[in-house]
Amino acid sequence: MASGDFQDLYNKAIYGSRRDTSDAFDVARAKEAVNEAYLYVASTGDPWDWLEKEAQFNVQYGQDVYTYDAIGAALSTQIAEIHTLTMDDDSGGGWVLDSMSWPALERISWSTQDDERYGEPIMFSKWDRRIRIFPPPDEAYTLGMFYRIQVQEMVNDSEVPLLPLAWRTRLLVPFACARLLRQEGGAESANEADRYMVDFDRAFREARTATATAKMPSFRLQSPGWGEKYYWEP
Amino acid sequence: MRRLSIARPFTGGYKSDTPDYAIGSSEASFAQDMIAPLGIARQRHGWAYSGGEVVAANLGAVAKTTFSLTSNDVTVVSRLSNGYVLKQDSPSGGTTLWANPRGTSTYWIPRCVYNGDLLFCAQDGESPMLRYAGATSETATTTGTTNLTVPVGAMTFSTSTTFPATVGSFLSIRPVSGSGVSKQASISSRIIETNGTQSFTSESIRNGTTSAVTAVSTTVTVSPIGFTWPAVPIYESGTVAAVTGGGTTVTFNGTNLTSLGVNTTNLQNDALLVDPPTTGGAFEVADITGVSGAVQLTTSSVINGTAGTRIRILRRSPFKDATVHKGSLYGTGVKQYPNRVFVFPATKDIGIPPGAPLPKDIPYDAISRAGYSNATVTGYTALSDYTAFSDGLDIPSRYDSTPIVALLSTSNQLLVLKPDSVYGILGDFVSPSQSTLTVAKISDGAGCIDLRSAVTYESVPFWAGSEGIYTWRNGAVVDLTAGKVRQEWQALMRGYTTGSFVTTGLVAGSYLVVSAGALDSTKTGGAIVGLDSAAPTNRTFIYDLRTDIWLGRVSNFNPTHMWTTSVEDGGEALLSVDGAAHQGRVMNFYPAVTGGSASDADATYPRFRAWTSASLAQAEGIEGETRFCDLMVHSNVYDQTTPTSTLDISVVSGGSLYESPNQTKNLTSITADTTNRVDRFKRQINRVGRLHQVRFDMSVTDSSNQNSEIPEIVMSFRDGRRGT
Repeated sequence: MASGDFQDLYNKAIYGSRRDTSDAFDVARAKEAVNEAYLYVASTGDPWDWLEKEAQFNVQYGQDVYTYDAIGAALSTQIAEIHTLTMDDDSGGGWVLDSMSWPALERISWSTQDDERYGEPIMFSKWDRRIRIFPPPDEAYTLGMFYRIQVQEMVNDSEVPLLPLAWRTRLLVPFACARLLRQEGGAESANEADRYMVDFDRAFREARTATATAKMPSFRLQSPGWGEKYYWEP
Repeated sequence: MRRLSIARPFTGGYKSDTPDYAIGSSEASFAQDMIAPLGIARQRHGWAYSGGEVVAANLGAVAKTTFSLTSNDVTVVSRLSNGYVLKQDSPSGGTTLWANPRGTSTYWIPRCVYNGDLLFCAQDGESPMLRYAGATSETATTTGTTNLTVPVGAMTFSTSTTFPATVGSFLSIRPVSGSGVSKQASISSRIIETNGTQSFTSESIRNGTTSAVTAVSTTVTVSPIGFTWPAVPIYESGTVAAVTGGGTTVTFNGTNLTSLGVNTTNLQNDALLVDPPTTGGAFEVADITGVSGAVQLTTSSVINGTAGTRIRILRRSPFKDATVHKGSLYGTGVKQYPNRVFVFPATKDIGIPPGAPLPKDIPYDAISRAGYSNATVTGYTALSDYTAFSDGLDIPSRYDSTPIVALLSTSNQLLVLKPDSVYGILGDFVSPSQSTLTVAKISDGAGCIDLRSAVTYESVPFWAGSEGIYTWRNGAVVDLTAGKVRQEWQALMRGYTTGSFVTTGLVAGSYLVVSAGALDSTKTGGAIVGLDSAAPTNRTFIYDLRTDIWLGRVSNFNPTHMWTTSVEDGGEALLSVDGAAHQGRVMNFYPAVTGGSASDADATYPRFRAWTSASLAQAEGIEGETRFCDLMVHSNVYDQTTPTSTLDISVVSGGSLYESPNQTKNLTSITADTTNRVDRFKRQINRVGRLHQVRFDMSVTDSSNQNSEIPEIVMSFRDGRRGT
């Protein structure tokens, strides 16, 4: 057990709720509570710095649609949202693929469908946890990706939450303790649970100030033919 | 969190009758090897061996007392296998005092001390009761024909041959006349003075003739063991048919003698008593020396015996139990009359006829009274002159399906214990003419299951029955098990069968020890309590008489017989023998409660175990979910050196909405220290449940352990879904 790993956190939750680390039932409930706290914090919509990741993945000749899950599986990660894609050309330069709405990209691709050509991807759209790049790759390329990771429940004792170490105990343990105490019921437990939630709320606000600083990229919604760069000539 | 403090836990007593969730917080749902001499639960000490090993093992009973005649303390034991009675020698070994001639058919149990004699009762209802007066230096039994000389008016007997004797030995003779003809039945009298090996003075036999008995050839036995007068009629309804053989062969109408198992062993003989031919006449009495036919016997002296005259066959107190009550010896358990109680006149020397004058005042002039031409004793004209009181003490009637098991004396009445009832004998029996004895039924139930369980200590009786364990208090039978361990006891007794035993003993005036064993385990399943994984074959309980609580079980101590004694220079002891692990040894349980060594004498350590109520959190209730958070144990586990004694603690929790089955949490043990002080140990539990129970187990006892006690435990709880 290391400081801040899963076992450390659920043991602290057990201690805090006066449960028993040697009791399998209590351990199972504490694990559930810590995971619940973890998922809850990660899913509040706050732009947590610790959720932002970047990676590279390969696209294949002629395949323009890729699901988040397929990309994540290839990269052994879970993707909550893709924000930005980048492209390296053969000369070592590159560009950021423009993101646009599904209809916008469709209009572009539709306008060229009679004589569609493959090429280096320069734009993409996303819907239903998948992306479509355009034009379809005329050969295999490696795309860069900036994304927000999908937090997963911890299973193994040695797993470490994505939260910075400094915030793991302060955020996850009070929430988990409160959950455990709520389960137990009784006035004394309820009061104690409320106090833990007060602790959690305070820690959450402070954590938001400290670590929810990420700036979400803005979509640059553009129409085909807006500028030269976006002129498509088959 | 709320706290529950239990001062002096477990001293509320062991109560297996009550579910563990329904007992009080200071009571114990299970307890073993626990005593509480100062009101604090602690581990008992070890019992000790008393004296050396008796080589002839298979011991069945033990007794020790101070003998007034010899002014010494002697421990005697009896053997189950052959009925021998032995003196326990120091430092080891055993010397036979009584070589039972009847083989394995019976064995003797010491039951009381009367007139300075320790009385051993044969358990076949046929063999004679034995008297032992403390003779130790001469333990041989010497029987021989010798020329006996007794001067006129003397009580000193001289023999022509050697008879090793000492004060406390018994002189057994058949009274003789000057002519040398044996008269009457044999008698035993203690020897109160010796002068070499050929001259000794009897306590109560005198030559009352006007002429000396000089060199009369007769049979004499000098032995550490004596007998009683044949005062017990075992057959009363025959009549003389004919007397032949010169007056010593008697044929009668009546029972087949073989069914009576007539004892013709010399000087232990059964006797023939013939009614006077006319009212007011003299009885005739003689030893039966042989059985020559189904209805024919031979006697030691001439019987006139008119045809048609009633005869009785007398036996030498074949009591299964005897006790002293208001100065009289009461006996019962005679095979032919299992419902009858016999009683000797108060203070009477039981070696001579009941009609003889009181000892010390007027010695029995056996010599003079035998100086007749036949077996008639002048002046002995009543049946009660020959027999211990036999009329009117059939309880409840002459024939009843439940024989008397034991007699116990109280300060008021004599309790007569049957298997399923209790009767009382009220009144006194100074003599047959001064008898006020009446019998009253005391109780249906509360009977006695085993003679060895019936004891009296300082006039307070205790006995065990199939339904409970009893005492007599304020004129009523009190069941000590009621509401405490009664169901467990009854379950044990369902396994009582032939060869089983239940015995009780008192120790330190404060504790009653009850041991049951050789039980049929196919029937004792209901006695599975606490740690038990199988139906028991034996169990020993200990009861605190001061606080009226059961302290629980005793491990490694399951005696077949116990004897409580207090001797002048040896202190008090609860002596015991068992039929198994400690054969040949006499165990003394007294140090176990008064401060003996840490271990039992066989190097087995006591193992204190105690379980609290299972409803600690709710204080005698089961409603409400509660988390058992912390436990504080105030204990003193004190080893004098190199502490290794260990008191284990565990908590069993269950019945939770979440976790229903019982779960055991083993806490960090308490290890002894070398400071004799109560320390505080905190342990975290944090288990949830409706039922919580704390268990202590003294798993390791160091040889230097001085004290292991738990004065207080404190618990903190957090209530959960109360009322759900």
